[in-house]
Amino acid sequence: MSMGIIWEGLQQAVQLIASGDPELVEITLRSLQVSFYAILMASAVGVPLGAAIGLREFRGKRLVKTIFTTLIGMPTVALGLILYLLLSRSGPLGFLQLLYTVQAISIGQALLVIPIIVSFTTSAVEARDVRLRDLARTLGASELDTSIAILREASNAIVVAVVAAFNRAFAELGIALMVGLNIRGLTRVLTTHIALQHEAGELGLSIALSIILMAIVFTLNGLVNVLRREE
Amino acid sequence: MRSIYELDDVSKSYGKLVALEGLTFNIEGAPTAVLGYSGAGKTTLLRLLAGLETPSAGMIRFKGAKVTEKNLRSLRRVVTMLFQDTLFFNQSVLENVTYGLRIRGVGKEEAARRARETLASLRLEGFENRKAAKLSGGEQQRVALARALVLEPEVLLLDEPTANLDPANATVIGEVIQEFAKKGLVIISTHDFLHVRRLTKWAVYLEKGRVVETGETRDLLDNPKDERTRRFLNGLF
Amino acid sequence: MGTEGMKALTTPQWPLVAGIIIVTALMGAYFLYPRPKTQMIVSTTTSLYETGLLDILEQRFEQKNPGYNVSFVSQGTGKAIETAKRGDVDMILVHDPPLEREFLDGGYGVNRKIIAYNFFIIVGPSNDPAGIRGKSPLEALRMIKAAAESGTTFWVSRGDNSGTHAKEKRLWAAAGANYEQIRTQTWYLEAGTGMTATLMLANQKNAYTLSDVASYLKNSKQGNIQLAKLVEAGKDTLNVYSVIACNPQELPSAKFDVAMKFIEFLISNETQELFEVFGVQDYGEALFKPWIPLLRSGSNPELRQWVEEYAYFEGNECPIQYRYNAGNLYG
Repeated sequence: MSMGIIWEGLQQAVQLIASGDPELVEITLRSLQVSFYAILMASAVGVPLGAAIGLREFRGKRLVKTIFTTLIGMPTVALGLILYLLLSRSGPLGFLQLLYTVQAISIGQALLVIPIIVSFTTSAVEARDVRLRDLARTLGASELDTSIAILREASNAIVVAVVAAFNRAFAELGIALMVGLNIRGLTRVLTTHIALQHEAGELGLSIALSIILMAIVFTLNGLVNVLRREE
Repeated sequence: MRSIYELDDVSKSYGKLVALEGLTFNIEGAPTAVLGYSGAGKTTLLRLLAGLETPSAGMIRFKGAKVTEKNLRSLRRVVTMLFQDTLFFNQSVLENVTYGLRIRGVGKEEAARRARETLASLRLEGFENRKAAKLSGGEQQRVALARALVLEPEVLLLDEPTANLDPANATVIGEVIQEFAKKGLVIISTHDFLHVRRLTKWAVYLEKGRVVETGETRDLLDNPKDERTRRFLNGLF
Repeated sequence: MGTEGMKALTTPQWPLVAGIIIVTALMGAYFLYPRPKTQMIVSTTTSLYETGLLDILEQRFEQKNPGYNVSFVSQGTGKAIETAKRGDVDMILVHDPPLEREFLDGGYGVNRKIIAYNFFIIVGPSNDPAGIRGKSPLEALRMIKAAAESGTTFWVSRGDNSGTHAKEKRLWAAAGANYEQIRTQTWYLEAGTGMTATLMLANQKNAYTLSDVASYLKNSKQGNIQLAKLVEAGKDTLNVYSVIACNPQELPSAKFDVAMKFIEFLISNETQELFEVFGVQDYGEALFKPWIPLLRSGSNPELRQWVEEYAYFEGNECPIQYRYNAGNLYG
């Protein structure tokens, strides 16, 4: 591939972005939407779960924590394949009619990042002074109040976890590909379109999408680092 | 008058470590001191009385009712403990002090009003919006005390309240505690004798998790009956 | 012990409850919001999809039938058919008659209709080291094999069970080569993916490959490849495109009625005319040639005979046992 073609592609990309190409906008918005709902679900499940694990002592606690930290490394294609087999119309969950939908991608991404949120939340909660719990309790707090207080104290760290989780979900390819298949107007997101457009040789669009993807991910990453330093 | 606390052969172990053993005594309504070396079990005893933990063996009664897992929480609603190392939420002084009231359902304005009153009594007017964790040691102790007093507890447990305090702060705190003692039970664990003599009427000496001697504060300090108590007192004077 | 009037919800707990309500509402909307249009999914091949023709077809169909939303899932033919067997799509649009036969035989599909055709071509470096220009397809392959074995060139295969790949395998067999054996040779490269990527690989390696006309023209024009068309139309390189609806008796979740509508749309005069002109402006020739006019007019009996030999089953594009509620699809 000659430099000329790359240069042309870059020019095309800049033009697409500057002109606010509607397809570009649609794909970007969809990516954001899918990952947003994924994080919503993952946080709704992961934060209470992580807090519950962090705040209690129970047999096998160390094992549970290890399991979640290990699950962080789940390869996206593997998870995508598992989901595909489950959601396929001839699969056990086929009746849900979720295959090739953005909702399915969101579910997949949520499953992907729940271990991240759980692990980080558990650490954040444990890092908060154990005595904080005693403090709340001696001031008359119920178990629920106590947990809320500790979560509030750990909220900075939890926000970091949630943003990191969003990044992971937003930038992943395997799940969106296997479960969504990049259907135009339906399940096309930044990552799948870059991957498959590259195959079809549309360089300008691929580059434009990559620029957007990187811009969003790097900005959020920067945000995470700033928040981390304030810890 | 019925005893506030009745301890009957109370023991507390953490795994193999035995922190308290065979504690049997009563605590009446008078301000009480718990004396002993570090590691003797003072903090553990206070935690049991605060309802933060339950005994491994034996029984504690509070105002005649047995303390069980089920009613621990209601015990904690009327008994508040101040820890040796003051700890705050990562919030302002006002937010810290009103916490206990808020979770009891007291409205925001009312809670703030009561908090300000209590802070004023501890010479902390104007401190409301400062970050609690950023205050000086003495100021922190006073805020922690305000946080407890605003709840108007029936029992106030203080774990080494005047350790590391300059005389000025210690005096203010001492006065406030004395004021509180008129309405509620104060139990102080300490080895600061100046204040013990002034603030408390009754004392318990603990050594290695066991009660060695109990009695009126002045009697215990001036005429300890047990050799071990004598050694402890001599060591600290 | 310490009775206290307690509010049902103490103040610090409000944000938590509000949060739970908001999250539940959002999730409910996201998952349960009814989809207004009926969704139909067509499993098709990458070579067809990458030309952009399907997007136009989709737009036109949706314009005429606003209650429907058509989506294409493009994979290699083999994968496309597997997906259909699982019932994940409503119809297939592919170009591999033997596999299509199997699909019909297995009861997965009904109502097959041939809609268009074109030719596979053999492309390679413009200096043509194996000297195949103008030769017949089978002879060209033999010459390529000889040249490659002596180290002068390479061969790139799709290697992905697509229609093109299946065609390639059959051509090698007809040329007298043992596919399983040549596959392991160092001069035989497998791209494992779509036509564009395969062409680009061949371009990189100055190799020969089998391609469909549409993909070649498109990539050539875009400047992705500098390969030359060396062996063109021939009986052996005929490429026939058909649609098959998924059989609702076997795959109950298939949207049979919509699929049938789409099939009728594809064989309508309007669409067939579109096939005739698609690509002419951009590449100088039509990427696909419409089948229905050829069928009706009988203007090119030789070509028609080729198609019937290659893509008909027992003398018919869709034998009666594979038809179901076909209406007047077969005239």
